[in-house]
Amino acid sequence: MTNLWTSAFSHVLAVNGRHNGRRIVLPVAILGAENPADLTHVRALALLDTGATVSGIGPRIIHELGLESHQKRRLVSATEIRFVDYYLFRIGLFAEQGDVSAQESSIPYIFGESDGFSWGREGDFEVILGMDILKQCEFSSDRSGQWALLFG
Amino acid sequence: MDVLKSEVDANFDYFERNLSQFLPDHLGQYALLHQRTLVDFFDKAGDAYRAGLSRFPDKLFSIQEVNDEPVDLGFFSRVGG
Repeated sequence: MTNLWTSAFSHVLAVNGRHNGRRIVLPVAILGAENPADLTHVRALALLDTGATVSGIGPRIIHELGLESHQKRRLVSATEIRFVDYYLFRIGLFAEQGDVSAQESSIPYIFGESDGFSWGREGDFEVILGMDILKQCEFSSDRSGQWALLFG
Repeated sequence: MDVLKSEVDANFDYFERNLSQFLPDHLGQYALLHQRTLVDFFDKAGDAYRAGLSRFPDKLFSIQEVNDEPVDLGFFSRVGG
């Protein structure tokens, strides 16, 4: 967990990467929503998922940020109806700045609050970057595997 | 079952029973709920959440988006979370 007071005044505009033909995964920062001035965050890998209406976070992040669920939603799928706990959090993207790669940058661009879902087990990634965030960005991907998110 | 989860569950039951009344005028807003009672509506989830923290220091409240559209969890819809 890192404290980054300096990021409150920084605005970055793009993150680029190259996918492996299977999925797009990128580093993100997750912050609590209780105090907008609190920039304490947890770093994690996020799956860019255009099939998710909203973003989501895994159990380690919930534990480390001490988040509590104050909302639940009904999920309807082809095979079942179930309920999922929702959490309020903020997502930050590490944009490229000059020669510094997205992975090395320590200054996240922070989006407004997301009320997103959670799941119970660890996986290859700990964040789902859903359409609530993607609709605030310009996304592109070319046939060479290069992708880009523009925001801000 | 912890106290907060019980509060969220009770408020969710109340919310679902009254959702049809909320939808026409408050679609897309967030309801702040406490002890199976509607407290107020807010335009943003964060505003509802912080109002709940301010009004109820014991943090026993819940928020619900006024929306009857099902959510899709994408990848986790398929793996079952």
